[in-house]
Amino acid sequence: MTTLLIPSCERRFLQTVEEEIAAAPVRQWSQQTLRFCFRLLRDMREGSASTREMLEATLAGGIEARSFSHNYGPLLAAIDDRIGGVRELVRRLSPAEDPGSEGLLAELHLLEQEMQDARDLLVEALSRASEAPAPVDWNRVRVSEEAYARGETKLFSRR
Amino acid sequence: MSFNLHISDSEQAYFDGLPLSSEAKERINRFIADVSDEFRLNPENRPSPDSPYFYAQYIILDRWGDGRVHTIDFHVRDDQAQFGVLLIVFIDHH
Repeated sequence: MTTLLIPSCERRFLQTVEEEIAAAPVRQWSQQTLRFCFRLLRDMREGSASTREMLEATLAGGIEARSFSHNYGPLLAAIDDRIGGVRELVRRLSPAEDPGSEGLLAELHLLEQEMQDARDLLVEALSRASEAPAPVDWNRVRVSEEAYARGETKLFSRR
Repeated sequence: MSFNLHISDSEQAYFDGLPLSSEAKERINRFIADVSDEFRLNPENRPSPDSPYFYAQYIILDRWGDGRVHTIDFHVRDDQAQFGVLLIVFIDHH
């Protein structure tokens, strides 16, 4: 499930950018390298937006809690790993000393925000899914069963 | 198999009063009505193997309402399941 939503190559791409930054200041990068980085960071942002949209669609459809935790719990570590990678790049590029670095920083902040939005939703849902059930009110159970025995129950409906 | 879900007036009133949109409630209704035998009969979802009840916890993002994730617990009596009948005996929203 995790690999379906966040490509593992994204982490390697972030590491590659980190290595480029370590090897030479951004102002010394070729235009092709800079454009390539921008394009991939934007693709990653679109991918993160898709992840969030898929998560929203899954949750809006409703899902059994334990199944959700099982299938989507591992996604949190993957998102945290990507956010960590992005923050490391931000740290290495700050303060921006040239227009190229400024542009990369701006793109990285947008990417981080998109990832954070997906993370916030996932954390909220996982937290909800791990809540312990409230103790059963057996008096309410008895009332329901007695109503059924008397033929007084109705078909469950939404209103 | 989709079940006929029975509910008492008091539990229906509790459900009707939940701060959820009509669309979210429709999905919750469908979730319980379409519950699978595999889920229902899973010992993890029953207080004890011979219990006449199963338990289901459902989470839903109410994008038509408050935009938050909600948790709804259902306790359902299913000893009439072979006749296509489930009785919701307790609902809790948190």
